Amino acid sequence: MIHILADRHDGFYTALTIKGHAESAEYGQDLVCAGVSSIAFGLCNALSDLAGLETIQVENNMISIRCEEPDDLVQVILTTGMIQFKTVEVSYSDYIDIQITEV
Amino acid sequence: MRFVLDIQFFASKKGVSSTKNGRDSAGRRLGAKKADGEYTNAGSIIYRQRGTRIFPGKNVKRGGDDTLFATAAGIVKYERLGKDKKQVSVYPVEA
Repeated sequence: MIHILADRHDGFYTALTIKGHAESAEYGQDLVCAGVSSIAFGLCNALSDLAGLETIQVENNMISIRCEEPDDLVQVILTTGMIQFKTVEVSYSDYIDIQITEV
Repeated sequence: MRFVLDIQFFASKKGVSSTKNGRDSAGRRLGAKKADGEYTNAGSIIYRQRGTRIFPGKNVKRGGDDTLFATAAGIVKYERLGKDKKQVSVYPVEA
């Protein structure tokens, strides 16, 4: 199962971690993983290219995004990403799990 | 674009399987500690074993872990015992 863990403070996303294995099929045929990977990498590139966010780490099946300073563009991009992840979760909740924590 | 898409980034890695095996205890160094015809002192270990692969003969006793040890000084002799068994004895050397 892929776990998406988001921290929020005063309605702003301050951290987002995506980790785990979808395990909806074998490597190379895992469609849920493909969907979530596409959203996640697109999100990282949008945050980096559009909003200039640097605190993004992509390592062996974990993506970690941190945003210390409240920035409207970053929040719009992150919120869009979360809606996309939720769209996947609605249909494939056996393979993806989203948890939002108010910190 | 900084991040290159790996479309199977969150898939279980190919060919990476874990195994629950891979453990083993250290070897117990069993077997003969004195050869046939070798001199041994009283109390010396002659044969380490699990169960009685070899039985105690003359001047030889069996310890709690089936170890065979000499009860007298002398020459070690491995002998047949019945049809298909072996025993080890110690024959004191004539002065």
